[in-house]
Amino acid sequence: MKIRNIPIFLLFLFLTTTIFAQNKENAANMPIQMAIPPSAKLSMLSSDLRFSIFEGEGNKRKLASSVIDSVWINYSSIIENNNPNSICASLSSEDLPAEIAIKLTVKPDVGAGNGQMGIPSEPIYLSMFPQPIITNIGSCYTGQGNNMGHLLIFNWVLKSNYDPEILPEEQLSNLHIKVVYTFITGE
Amino acid sequence: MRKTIFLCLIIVINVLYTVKVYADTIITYNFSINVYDVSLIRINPSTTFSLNLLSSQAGGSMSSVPNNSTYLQLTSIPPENVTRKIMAKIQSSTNSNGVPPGTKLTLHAEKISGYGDVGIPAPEIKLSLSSNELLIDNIASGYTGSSSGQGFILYYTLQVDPATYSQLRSTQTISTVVVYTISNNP
Repeated sequence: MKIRNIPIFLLFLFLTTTIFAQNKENAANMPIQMAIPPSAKLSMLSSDLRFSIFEGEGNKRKLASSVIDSVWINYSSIIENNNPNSICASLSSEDLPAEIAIKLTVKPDVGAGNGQMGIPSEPIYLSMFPQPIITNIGSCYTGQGNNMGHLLIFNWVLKSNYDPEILPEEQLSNLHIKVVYTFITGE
Repeated sequence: MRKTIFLCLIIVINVLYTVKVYADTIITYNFSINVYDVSLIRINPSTTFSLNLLSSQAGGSMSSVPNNSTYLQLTSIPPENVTRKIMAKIQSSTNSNGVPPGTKLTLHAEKISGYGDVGIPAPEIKLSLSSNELLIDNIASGYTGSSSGQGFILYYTLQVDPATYSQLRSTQTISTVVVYTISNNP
């Protein structure tokens, strides 16, 4: 080989080596990490619920309807392993006179969401102790807003032992109670 | 003196003739130029990112924010009358499904820059461990550029599969590797 051909040969060797080395890069990898944290969220679609046992004044005074109000409950849930979640309800304080009972009835989910919805419990009388109102909640969501999720219906009941001498009607005319809802996970 | 001048004249003529003969010599080199088959791809950047499925509000479905922080870059010179394609699949995972149960990992590419025929992105694909899915097709001779922000932007989304929503379970971090391959179309 002549001396003046050596640079051409070296250039050819370099290009060939480079191109063949690059041709091996016909695949590429991308690492990704994925996670789903547990989740349990609920919301009530209502302002305060106020109710009166009696309505009207003077001679027109009479017992009001037993229905206090109704409210929609929405929730989202992602369970861990296979332990379902539940929702409990209780009174937040002892403001409710002993002669009055509040009955809570939960309707089935309307089906606007997806997943394993909870099952309503039998109607309960609210007390200071949390009682399950919706159980067996799996991974699901109800949808957001009115007419989605479960409808909760509140009724009052005047107990048979009510004695107007002990508890004047005036004290029953405007009651304000608080209900606490608790999402219990993994039970 | 005349002899000397004559001798010098003879020498000069001889030199000039030699130079002319040399200048008229034609040297021919035969060499060929080959354009080699090139098919290069890379993901830029290729550092790990995370996709988390979250619920923003009570009553709402779980969802994740798509990741669009990576770009697929390529250089291609195929043989004559040959086009290429890029396929994608899940190569390995710490989970047997490749993704958390009840979810699917989707991907689509959008061309941001390219010179020549760098290909046409396919519609959104669902990544799986079992099959390669077509991501970009009809690649001929072209290149995308290799700087940050050049090439095809990649949108990854971790989605809930509505048909299997109840199978969702909270999970610790799953590590998955997606592999991209470029190959000739048959």
